[in-house]
Amino acid sequence: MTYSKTVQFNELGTEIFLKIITKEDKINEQAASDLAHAHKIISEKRDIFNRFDEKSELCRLNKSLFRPFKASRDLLEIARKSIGYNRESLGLFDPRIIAVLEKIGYQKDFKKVPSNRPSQHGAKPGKILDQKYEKDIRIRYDTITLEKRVDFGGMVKGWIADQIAIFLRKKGWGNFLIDLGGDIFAAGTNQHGQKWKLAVEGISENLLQLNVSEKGIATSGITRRSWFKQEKFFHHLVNPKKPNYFDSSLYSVTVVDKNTESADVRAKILFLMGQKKGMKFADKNNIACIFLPSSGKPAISKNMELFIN
Amino acid sequence: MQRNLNRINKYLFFFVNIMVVAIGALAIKSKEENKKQENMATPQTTTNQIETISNTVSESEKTLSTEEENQPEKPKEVATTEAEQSTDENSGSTPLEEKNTVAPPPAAAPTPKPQPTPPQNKQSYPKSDRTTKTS
Repeated sequence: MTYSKTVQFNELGTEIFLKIITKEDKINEQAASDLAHAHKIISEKRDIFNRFDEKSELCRLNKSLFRPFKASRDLLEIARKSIGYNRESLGLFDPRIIAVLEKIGYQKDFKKVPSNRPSQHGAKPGKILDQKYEKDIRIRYDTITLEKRVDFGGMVKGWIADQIAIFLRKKGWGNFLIDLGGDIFAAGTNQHGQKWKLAVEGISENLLQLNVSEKGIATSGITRRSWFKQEKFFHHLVNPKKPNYFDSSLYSVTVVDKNTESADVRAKILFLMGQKKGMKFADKNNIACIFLPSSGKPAISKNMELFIN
Repeated sequence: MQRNLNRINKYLFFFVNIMVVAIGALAIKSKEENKKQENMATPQTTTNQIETISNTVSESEKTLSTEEENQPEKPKEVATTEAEQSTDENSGSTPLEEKNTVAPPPAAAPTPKPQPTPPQNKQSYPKSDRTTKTS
């Protein structure tokens, strides 16, 4: 007999779902206590990385351009990792796109503004890449010096999901599911003792289900955060190399990876590459992914077939 | 002379009567023999007729079998034809081996039970634990 404890709440501008599977009903209280602490961890991380909150550590960092900023351990970790992902993606993952996002109208929490978003300084995003990313963000000991503002939103949610997973493991839990608005970590098995079964948004669960355990899963796409301005289509997945181009041929890209942070970043990179180039990259680098185009059938990489029924 | 003539007539009459009786007796006897012969001859004729029919059918069977063997695309039709003919030959003239090679007629095949039609919207996978969302 198995039992489960689930909590759901809104945080990080999205719906959070946390579930622990227990063997005995009497330890459900412990599960509830640990899930409450997980909620607290999410709130703490939000206070560090929320670009819409002027008091957040990230906003304070962005205000201190050209000056060394003493950063927290979490901010330092994310800043270091962002440089690695920028190199891995040959520049497609770039936290400096915050300038473009603000220019095209994404300067506030997406849920708090109308869908037809006003844009600042017209709708033309402009150029953001004057020099390499690593030259605009220099890390020395516990300080970060920026030459351009950054936003780590492209990787933070996945990273927080992994932090929750680490915490729950330390507490002795082996079977749980963490879902931060689509950035998921699935540990152990579900209440039926099987791998976690995940449907992919936009694809019927009768056609495709992912069976995962000890994996991170993330989906990046334009179905939620996209809008029109002056009859021009925009979305939040900005290509730093083509900041004036907003691809609508893809709905989403889903990635299964060793952890949620990596899945989150890779899903964005593949989306920006486009289906043809992205699928080649995925197969070459053994990335498990599904491309869901706006028209036509989903495309599944070789590695993703391992997770499909 | 007249006396002689009367005697001759008497003898002739007597002789004719004897002849008539003898012929009648012979006729009755031959009738009885014919009846006996008929009673014996009838089954013989029937057997011969059956043998003839049987041989004819066997010949036609062979012809059919040969023709059908050259047409392997229609095995079911062959079986049906053979089965129909063997049914006609309940006299036992069909060799046992041939009987064994005859497939049962389709009509005798067990009728498949109607399978319950699955509902069109039946879920082929168990329900998902969670659905991914775009972020």
